[in-house]
Amino acid sequence: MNTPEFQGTNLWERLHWAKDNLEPVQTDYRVVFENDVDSPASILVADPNWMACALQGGILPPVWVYWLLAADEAHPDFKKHTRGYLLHDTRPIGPLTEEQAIEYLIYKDVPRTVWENYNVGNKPKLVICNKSQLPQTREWRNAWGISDEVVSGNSKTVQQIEKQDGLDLTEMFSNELNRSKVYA
Amino acid sequence: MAGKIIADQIQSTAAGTVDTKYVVDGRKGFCNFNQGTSAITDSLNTSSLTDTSAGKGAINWTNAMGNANYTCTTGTGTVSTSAYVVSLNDDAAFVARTSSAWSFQTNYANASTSAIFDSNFSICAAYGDLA
Repeated sequence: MNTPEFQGTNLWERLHWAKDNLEPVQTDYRVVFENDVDSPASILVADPNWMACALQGGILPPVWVYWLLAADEAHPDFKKHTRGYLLHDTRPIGPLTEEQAIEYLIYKDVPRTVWENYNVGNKPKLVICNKSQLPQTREWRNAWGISDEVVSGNSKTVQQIEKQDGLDLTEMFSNELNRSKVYA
Repeated sequence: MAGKIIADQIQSTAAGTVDTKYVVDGRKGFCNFNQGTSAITDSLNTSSLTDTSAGKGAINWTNAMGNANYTCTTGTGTVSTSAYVVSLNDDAAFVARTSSAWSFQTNYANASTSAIFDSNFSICAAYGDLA
């Protein structure tokens, strides 16, 4: 099924269209990350309806839209979003592979402090695995962590995402942060 | 053939008139999930589930809410065969709620004990303004 031309259509309406027309996709990928040394590892599970949107293409906004909204929300004077149009009016991204969708989800739903420097330190703070690699019961859930034996390879960087969309996000973020500082 | 009905108000013969925006303006997202297996069963406007620890986690929204002041109604399943009160609660006291993520914890309690636990059936629905 082809996705209608959705640029300018409210994202929420797009999600309704997807729920009515797309089969949910349960991925076996899981993202394990450590956000805080004093807390157990977190497990990120992709939503099946969201995954269907990502694989279909033409529905979800580029991930940098979420970053800009997060920057707005971090502003001390934030009351409510006034740039929601970024979600609705920005040209939606095309179809992703399952692996690309997981990567997108990391940039959207994992704290930036984790993925930005995930591979700096004695061991990675974030790994993508198959759900069969997780403990098969919830026993000692509050003691789960990423194994010291995990060695992660290099991955796509933020700069590569910028290049994909022809954007200079470093500059955009810098501007947003500076704006926050001015008003702080 | 697909069609469209355009109306600003709906009128009842007994209860007067209501603006359609109050009729249409229902839930903005929901998530039915199983933390025992870390899986989402069904949803609307949910991008992912973050399972942070036993009985704790967050629902991440695809279309962010207007701000963090939205409402979530919740429900959760019982604990095996024991007589406990169970609830899925907002965890904003410990994990900041944002327009794009709702943090929760699932609790059970009776007269003598209480704990946070992984529920095999939890539901939440978000109401409020979207971004």
